[in-house]
Amino acid sequence: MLLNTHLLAELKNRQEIHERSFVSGAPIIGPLIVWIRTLWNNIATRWYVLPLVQQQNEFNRQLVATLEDIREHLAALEENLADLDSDQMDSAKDIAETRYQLIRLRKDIQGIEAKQADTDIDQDEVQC
Amino acid sequence: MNNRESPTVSLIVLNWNGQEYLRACMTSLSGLDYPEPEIVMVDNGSTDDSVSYVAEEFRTVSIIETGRNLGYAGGMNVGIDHTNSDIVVLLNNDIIVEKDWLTELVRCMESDKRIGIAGCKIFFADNKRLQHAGGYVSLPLGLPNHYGYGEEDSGDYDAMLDVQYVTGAAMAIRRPVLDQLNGMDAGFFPIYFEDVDICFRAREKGWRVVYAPESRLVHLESATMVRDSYSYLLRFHQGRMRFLLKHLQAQEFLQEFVPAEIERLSELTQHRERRALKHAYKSALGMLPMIYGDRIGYNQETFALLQQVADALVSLHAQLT
Repeated sequence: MLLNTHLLAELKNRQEIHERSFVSGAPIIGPLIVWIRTLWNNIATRWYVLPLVQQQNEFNRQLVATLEDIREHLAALEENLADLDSDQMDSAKDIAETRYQLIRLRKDIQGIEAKQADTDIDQDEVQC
Repeated sequence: MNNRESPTVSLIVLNWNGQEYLRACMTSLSGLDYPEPEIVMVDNGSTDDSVSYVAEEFRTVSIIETGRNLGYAGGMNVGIDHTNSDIVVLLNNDIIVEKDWLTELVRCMESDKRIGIAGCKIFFADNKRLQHAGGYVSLPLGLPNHYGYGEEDSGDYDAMLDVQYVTGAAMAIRRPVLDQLNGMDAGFFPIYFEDVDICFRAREKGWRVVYAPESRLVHLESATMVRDSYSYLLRFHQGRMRFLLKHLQAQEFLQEFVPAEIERLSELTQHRERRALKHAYKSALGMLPMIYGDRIGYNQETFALLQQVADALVSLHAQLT
């Protein structure tokens, strides 16, 4: 199926995005750098970024939920299609059998008509 | 005038939108060393400039326009009906023959009047690798194979050989065979297995089908459907099912073909082919009444067989669900 369950599970695991903590590998002054960047983030950008993260998370949740709905619908449609296909095959079998019997009947009728015609000719000859 | 030692021959080239192949094909046919072969092109409703091109460039070629695509067998039957020569050679439009191709083909056929159909040694475009040196069908599955396919021509296929079938890309047929078999079966529409079918029917009537190694040509095999496409797989399996219904006894179909097919299906993972097979089984149900009726008769016993075969087709279809 186009939307497989593994892919959807993976999307669901990753639908929530989070802030990342600052880290620094610098010796001695590393903690100071982290403290300054965190402070600057709190003052200058956090108030702006956090609502965006929330908006994105909400969008991701809705998207994953919608994809799950579509997958369920597709699964149901595929089941219906398989049922219809199977029904169609059964009908094709019935049609094949009926068609054979119809041709057989037609041939029987032709045989009877031919015999009847022969009989009529014989009777005509007797009368003559 | 034709030398009366030589049988008269009509070469029927079937064309459908194949203008790009016609120059090489018709030039090679026009240069044959055989005395006055009749060349006929049957155009199956092309929308390119094939007809006007051949009419202008190859004035000795007779052109028959069917107006629509009648398929391989349907188109060839039109050409066959148009001719009255001793031997008819059915040809694809994407072939290039050698100068003595026809002389050798006829020589092979004339070596025994019981030879009803003959095919030739066919190469891929590189003129080195073999494409066909006669063919056989693996039963009960009905899968056709070519002797020598893909091999370098190293002399292994240089002897004349009785084979099960020869490919319709280039197939010579004696007129009495065509008359006796009522031409090709146009039910193999649009293509595939009609060549195998006519060879099997000819052999059932006692004719020999042979491979003529001295008669050589190149088959570009690019004008036909792309292998492995859904369209190809559908036509191939539809043809295979028609062939099997026509040539296997009902009991062979039920007891040998069906179990073998189920085993094959269990290993078949390609979605495209599974889908094509489902349609082919359905098509087979449509063909079944006429094939069994014409072949075995219209009576209660045949109807009982038909029901069993129809059930088997439904069960094969169910395997793919």
